[in-house]
Amino acid sequence: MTKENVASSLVRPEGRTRQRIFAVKKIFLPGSGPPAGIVAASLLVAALSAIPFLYILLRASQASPEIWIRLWRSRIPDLLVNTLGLAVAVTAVTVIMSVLLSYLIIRTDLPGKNVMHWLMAVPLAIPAYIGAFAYITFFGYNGAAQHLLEAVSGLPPGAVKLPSIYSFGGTVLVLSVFTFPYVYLLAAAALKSGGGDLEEASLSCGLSRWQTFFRVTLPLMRPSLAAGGILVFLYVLSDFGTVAMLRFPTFTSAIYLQLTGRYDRGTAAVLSAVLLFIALAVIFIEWRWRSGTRYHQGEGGNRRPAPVSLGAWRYPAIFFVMAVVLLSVLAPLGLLGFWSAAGISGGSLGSDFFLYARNSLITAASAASACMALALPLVFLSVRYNSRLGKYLVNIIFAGYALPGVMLALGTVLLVSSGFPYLYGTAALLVIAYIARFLPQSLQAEESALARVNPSLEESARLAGYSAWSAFLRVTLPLIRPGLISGWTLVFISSIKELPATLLLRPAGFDTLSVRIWIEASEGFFEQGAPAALLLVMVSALPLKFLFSRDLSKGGFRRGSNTV
Amino acid sequence: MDQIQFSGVKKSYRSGQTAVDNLSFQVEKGEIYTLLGPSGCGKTTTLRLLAGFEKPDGGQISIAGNVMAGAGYWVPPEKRGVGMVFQNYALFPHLDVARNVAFGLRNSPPCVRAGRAREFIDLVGLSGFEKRFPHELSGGQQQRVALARALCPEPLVILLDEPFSNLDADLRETMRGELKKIIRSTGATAVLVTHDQKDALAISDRIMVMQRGSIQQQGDPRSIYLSPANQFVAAFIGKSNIITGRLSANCRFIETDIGEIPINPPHLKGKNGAFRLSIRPEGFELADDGPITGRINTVNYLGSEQECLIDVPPDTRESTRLLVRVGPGMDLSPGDLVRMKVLPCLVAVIDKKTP
Repeated sequence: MTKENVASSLVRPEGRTRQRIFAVKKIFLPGSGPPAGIVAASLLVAALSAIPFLYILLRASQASPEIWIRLWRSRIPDLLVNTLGLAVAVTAVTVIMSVLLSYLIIRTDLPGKNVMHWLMAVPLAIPAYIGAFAYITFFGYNGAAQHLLEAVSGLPPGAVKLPSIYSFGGTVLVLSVFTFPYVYLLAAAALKSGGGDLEEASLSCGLSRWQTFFRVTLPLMRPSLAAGGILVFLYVLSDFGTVAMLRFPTFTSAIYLQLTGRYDRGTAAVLSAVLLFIALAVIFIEWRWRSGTRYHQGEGGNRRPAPVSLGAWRYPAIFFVMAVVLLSVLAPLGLLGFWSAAGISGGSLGSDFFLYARNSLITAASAASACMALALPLVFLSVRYNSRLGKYLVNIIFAGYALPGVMLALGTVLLVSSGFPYLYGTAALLVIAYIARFLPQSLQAEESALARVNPSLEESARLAGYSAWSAFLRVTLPLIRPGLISGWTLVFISSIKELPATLLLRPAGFDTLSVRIWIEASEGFFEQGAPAALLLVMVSALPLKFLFSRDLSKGGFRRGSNTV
Repeated sequence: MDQIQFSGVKKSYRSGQTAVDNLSFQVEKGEIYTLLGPSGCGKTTTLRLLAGFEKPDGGQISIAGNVMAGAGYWVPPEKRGVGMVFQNYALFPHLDVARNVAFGLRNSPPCVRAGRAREFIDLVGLSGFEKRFPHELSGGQQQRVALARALCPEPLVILLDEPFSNLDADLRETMRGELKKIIRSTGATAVLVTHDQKDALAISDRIMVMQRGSIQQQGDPRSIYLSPANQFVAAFIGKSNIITGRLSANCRFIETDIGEIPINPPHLKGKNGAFRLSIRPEGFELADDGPITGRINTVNYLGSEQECLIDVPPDTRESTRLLVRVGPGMDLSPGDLVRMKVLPCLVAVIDKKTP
């Protein structure tokens, strides 16, 4: 699962309610329901996304009780401790980092804070598994750090050992530096969107800066921190590439191992079911929390307060912010650049590379185009016809969206091998999996686009003598085009980065860029994998431009999360 | 003794524009003092300088005899003993009414805190609302909470930034009286900022009219309205007719194009040359024996009064158009010829016209 999936799946509900301005009942033909064709198409699309997960549950329930008992006695306790421990640790680290970073960058006179604010979003463009790859090239068994240390100290190989990146601490570090922007951006938006008056009110009540921070600023940031923290928590639960590359056993990597190493589908299904319940529990908590009371900021008061003077604290503050930039942006990009240069001069950009790039491009573009078209009936059903069925279907699809990608791949493998064996091992299956996985991204983009089109525009086209279909083609379609394009881009980028589904479902010998990064990282041929990694980072960086020009300027990361 | 003292305070924005220019004034203990002026005149900056949210570039600010800023001193906002009611009230959305009001009492034991908070919630008339959250209150109730929160720690000075701007017209009038009563009952010195002259006239003991960062006039509401010190004040506080004339030989009249205007008291003795007068629209009274004749151009019937534009003298090219306020009962139409006299108490000599 890529980062953006978790982000947009969870930040979605609020955006929807805000955008649903023009949802009016039964627009086209008063007194009649939505056309049967749209309903049928919507049901089919929703089934495509939901069935793999349901099938996992079916298979897990069919697994013999001995498997359940054996797993509960052996693997599951360790995996639970590892997975939840990792998720809790990464969430805690990212939340603390983000509180410090956002306060320093938004509220103080930290030098260069505008550049820093921009840099804090850059890690979003680096998929965590590519970040892990970069860290492995430095700290791994055959990495540069060990060589450097030996060269500098003059000691024989193996005399000194660096702390291993293949450890709990290493995994927490890598996941934290590439996921903290979720929390940071929400926290920074909260700090930017006011509260300055409240801090002044607190000071005028006689509280010091520190007391104000703990009694006013921090409580006001709490909803954003919780929202960001849950994004990170779910991300860690779903992450496959990073933990697998850093060889830290969690549920996702254990499921993968069962499937690829031992071909034990029953065990994989049982482990998936456990992970599914954990993820659903987190989603449920998140949903309950979100539907509870929320803070209502007063209107006005958008005047930015005078920055807090750091005084002598500026030096440790600069050091801290620079360290974060180094770990999350400069070091990974620098290492990828270094190894890419080495690889390119060594001829790693051969015909093989272009074959992988072509495979990536074709599968991702097919999935993106299919998603763009398939999301339309659902969006019309839920937004234009304001259909209850449509809303249920959309919500089901979004619930599945927060679940790990490994599980979707597993469900697809199980389903296809028992029901449609001729699909197994084809590139078409890969595309179908991408569609099922990333459909929500185009759904969200198109939904917000359509919600902004006032139905009276379509109605006036109908009154001018156009059929429903030509009113759609001539009025609605041109107006929702930006949403279609941004949805396409999102699905394309997510598909091209997708790792676990690609690994599990690709035809034999069908390598994509993400698969090559995985293979080269595990075999230590860094200069072979680095150019692919750098290319993926560059592709992923495209939507950051939207993120900054649209959302942060308005102080809302959530509002336009469909552009990520 | 003066509770608040500004002497020669200067403040410029980062853009180099002057916000407050060499400002000196005093506020007495227990007074309700209003800074009045158009937006951008520096009144809010003055309030924020007093609260300690801005540092002056020069001059000195004292509260109760202690230097707060200037002469090498700087007291941060939390140590000034100043309470503030913000324009948008700035109530803490994560705290209920009781805890909002008790927010500034952190040094008291919990039982004392609860009791005092209740006392001030009572004072502002919000008993029974202790457990509500800010978003569950109306605008007027939110303002009462903000007021209670600012007053609860018994500050020496309470500051109010545009306290009525977020209220609708009816509530505004009620809250004017209410606010004055509450502030009086605590004996606090209050400094208030507003751009609304009606608010300022209704609530203040003294008003300071500001324009472009400097003082235009200070005084009690009556003297500000009756004798504006210059054209800006005359035009900003209510409406006024500005007329130029020359002092008569006996120093009791100003001779103008519309006739001799009596001035009271005749304080210009010994000066001569041209003067500018401000005559309030109420300063004219329709009277059959009045010395001024004019023709009505427009009648604007407002219910409680009617505003007429009258050309004096009638039917000439050089006539002056005067704004005259007349009681609602009189039957007037455009084209009517009227006679009127001037009430000296509503005439003010605003400045000597430069020749």
